Formats: sequence, structure tokens, C-alpha cells
Amino acid sequence: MSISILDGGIFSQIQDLGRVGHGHSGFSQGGPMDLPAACWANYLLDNNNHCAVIEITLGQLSLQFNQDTVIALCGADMAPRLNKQALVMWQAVPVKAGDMLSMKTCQAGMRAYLAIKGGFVGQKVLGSVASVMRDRVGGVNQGQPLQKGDEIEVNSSLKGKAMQSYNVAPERAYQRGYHYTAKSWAKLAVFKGPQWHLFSQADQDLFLNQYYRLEQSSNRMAASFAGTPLTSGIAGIVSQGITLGAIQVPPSGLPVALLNDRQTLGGYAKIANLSQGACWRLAQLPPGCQVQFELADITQAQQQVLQFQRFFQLN
Amino acid sequence: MLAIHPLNETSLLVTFGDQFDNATLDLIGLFCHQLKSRCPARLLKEVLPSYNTVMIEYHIDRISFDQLHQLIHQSYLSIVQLSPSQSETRLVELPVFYMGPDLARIANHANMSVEQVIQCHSDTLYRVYAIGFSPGFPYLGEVDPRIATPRLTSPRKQVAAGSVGIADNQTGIYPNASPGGWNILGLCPHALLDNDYQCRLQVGDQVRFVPIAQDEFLHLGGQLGEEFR
Repeated sequence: MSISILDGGIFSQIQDLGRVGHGHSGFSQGGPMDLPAACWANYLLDNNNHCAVIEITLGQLSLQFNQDTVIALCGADMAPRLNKQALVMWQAVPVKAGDMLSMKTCQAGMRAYLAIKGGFVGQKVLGSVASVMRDRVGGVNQGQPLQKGDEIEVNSSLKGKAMQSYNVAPERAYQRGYHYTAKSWAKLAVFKGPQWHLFSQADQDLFLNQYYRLEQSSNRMAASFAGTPLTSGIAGIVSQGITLGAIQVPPSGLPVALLNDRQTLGGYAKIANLSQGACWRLAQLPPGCQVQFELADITQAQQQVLQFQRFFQLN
Repeated sequence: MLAIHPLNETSLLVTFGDQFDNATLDLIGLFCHQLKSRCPARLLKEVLPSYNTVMIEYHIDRISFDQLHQLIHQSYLSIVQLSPSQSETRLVELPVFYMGPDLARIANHANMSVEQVIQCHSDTLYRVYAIGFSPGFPYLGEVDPRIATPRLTSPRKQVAAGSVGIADNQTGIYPNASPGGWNILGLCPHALLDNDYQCRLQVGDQVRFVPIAQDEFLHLGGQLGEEFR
């Protein structure tokens, strides 16, 4: 059982929940930028959460299925088509051998997630197939994006019998609470970073009160923001381990949020840290989007993460 | 003194004072060991030591911030009573074929001969301060101040795997070919990541570089790329 990539699109990669627990050796975790969208795609297929999906950034992916199976596509709308028909997103959809899935460029949102019954097979490194380009691990080609001609195996964990009896349950189709609209602004929840107190009151206020513009150069490693620079001029700090969503302020005075493929260590002062929900939201914001950082209560945010993890039985 | 700062919903940063020295490194090594013995692995996602901090990511569904906070304090209290000699530090010897493109630059900077630079670099017993930048890249210190050399003004597009370099008062080894701005002294024939991607070094380890000749370098499996021929 496999699929054939006919066109890798702008940037498509295999992702699973990430290469967790090897940060001390310098390995980035990777993993889906919009984690809930990836989880929904697996959930709709009754897949285990650890099943690998394809993260499609910006679109234009096209591929062919080499066997009958079931898929689900969640996240940004890229006008997906199954053969000539529009494909319904956020729902399990049966496909036949020879069917072609293709998509255009995303109109709203940035990333979509394709799950397949059983999950995709990739090169497992330290227990994960998550593609991390910089670390040259994961996926089908050492972390590099998918390209035309790639054949991706699919786990046949589902027995033939079960496959036949597998029914698409329409009641499991899900409409997400928030839509991937082309909205041009967003508020992102942050917590105070470990060096928050090193910044002047004026800088702290400026950080929270201005609208930043999300830069074109943003990617899976980091999101850069343009705006009025902070002026505290904090020289580098002794390098520290970096968690998801850390916001560093390099000498330019403009914040950089470190995301899934971040380096594990960072030597710039961290004024704040995005909440996990804010990271997922940021993953779907287009360049040019106006962004405001808003201090949030960490205890409340922890409850939201717990709720999310319980729903998807993530652990 | 110990400070604990929550970073996000599932991570926190433990800072061991403002000063960074070898005693801090010993303390951090003992701390990580204690924490792991008090806290089952299934509760923790990442334990990432670096210089004077340890970043911890935890399973919030299995242990709360307050519970972890308490375990961190208990671990810390149990180690501050220990004398430094109770820390077990591994010594790892790494062979180096000293023939790198920046030896002359470093010698010039230090006003020494190339031979003196090599001796100076290999006489020092280093500690692993941190591992990062790329998988398996160790930051070692502290370099003898005489040969501490600033990074190249424009980084090389490609530095060979195994390259041993100096940047200011730290020395390190590129586990894989990558762009880089460190001053390259030579090549280490040993892979820093094994075939299973496990890292040969860990934070706190002692490292000594042992100069070897080209024959031995090749015998140990080292490869000379075009840039070194």
C-alpha cells in the first residue's frame, strides 16, 4: 500500500507528533505546526495520534493513491479535489486505487494536514518520522520536502477485514470552532519570558501595545515580526534551552518566535513565550498579518492544553 | 541559588545562579541525575541542560507544575549537601588530525607557532557546556585565552563533518557538514552521533583532544574532503 507524489507542491512534509526527548542531543522536535488540525485528521480516521500525516504548506500538492483506503484532510482550505470533484474537508473520505488528490494554493490559512488510514511510513529516527529539514532527519528523504516521484508507504495496521467494514461516520465530520479566514490581524497569547524583567518598562509596553507585521521569511523554524524596535539593547545571554514559542529579541530589537523546527539552544533574551494555542494559530497566519501580543494567565492556558490533550487522548 | 520560571503551559526553566563555572556544571549534572531518579521518565518530555540552566518540558497530564516544582526543589536540596567530588565526570578522549584551514589564522592571532597552538588546544581539559546548534554539536570550554579567536567575519558555506573549531573562548566539533563560522583547527575521525543517532557526549563530560597524524586519522576511518587535500 502506498501513494505516489505527482507534485510535491510548495512545501509538503511528513510529520508525526515529533522527535520528543532528544533536545539534550540537539535534535529539534519538529511535528505539526497546527497540532489540532493534524490531530483532527487522524481522529476522523480512528487513527492513533502517532500516525504520520502530510503537512502541506501553501498547497499545490498532488498525489495518487495506489490502493483503496480512507483519508481525511483538515486545516487550511486549498480547494482540494479528488479527481475532478471537490473534496470535503474535515471528514473521512473513502478513496479508490488510482484516485488523484490535488490542491491549489491556500486562500486562507497556511497549512493543511492529510491523514490516511494507518498513517504514512517514513524514516524513523529516534522514534519519530517527523521531518526536520535542518537536522536532515525524518520523512522519506532525510527531512527534505516531498517531491515528484516520491513513493510513500502506508502502514497496513488495518486488517483487510476491518478495512471493508470500516464505515465513514458522517456524525464524526467536524466543523472547527475557528475558521481559517483571510483575516488580517490576530491576537496571540503570551507569557512573560525568563528575561522579561531585563527589558525596560517602555519596551515591555511597546512589546504588548504595538501591532507587529508577520514577515514573509517566517517558516517552521521561526516567525519574524516587523515593527518598532525595542531599545533595551540587551546583549546576548548565556545560551538556554528553548521551548516551543519562545520569543527572542536579538540586537535588531525585533522579536522572533521560535517554532517547531527551532534550534534547541538560544542566546538572545526572551521577552515572552507564546502559548501553545497561539503557536497553532500563528501556524495558519499569512505573511503581512498584523499581530498583537497579549499577556495571558498560564494556569488557565494549562487547563486548555489539558482539555485539548484529553479530547485527543494525547500523551 | 535556584530559580524556576514557567516558560509555557508545559515547560519551565531552572536557573542555577547568575554565574557560570565548572562547579555549576557539576551541580547541574547531579541535579539532572537526582531529578530523573525522583521523577519517572514518563512524566518528563525533555530535560535540556545548558551552561547554568536546565529546560524541562513535562507531561502536564501526568504531573502538575506545582508537583514538578516540589520535585525540583527536593532534588536541589539533596545535592547541595554533596561535595563536588561526589560528581562523577566522564572523560572522553577525541583524536584530532590538526591540519585545519584556520590554524595559521589562530597562530597569527595568538602570536604563536602552529605547533604551539596545537599543543595549547590539546593540553586543555575541556567540559561540555551545552549540546545544540545542530544535533550532537558540543560547546566545550574553556579555551586557553591565548588562542581564543573570534568567529570568522563571514561564515563558510560548508564546514566538513568532524571539523574541530574555536569561537572566542569555546571550542566545538561539527558532527555534520554544515555552514559555520568557527575557526577550524582540524578533523576528528570519530562520529559524534552513532548509527542510531545517539549522542556520544553529554553536558558535563570532560573532553581531551589527542593530536594524531594523517595515517592514524585515515586508519580510524577519517576522510579528507577536497578542501583538506
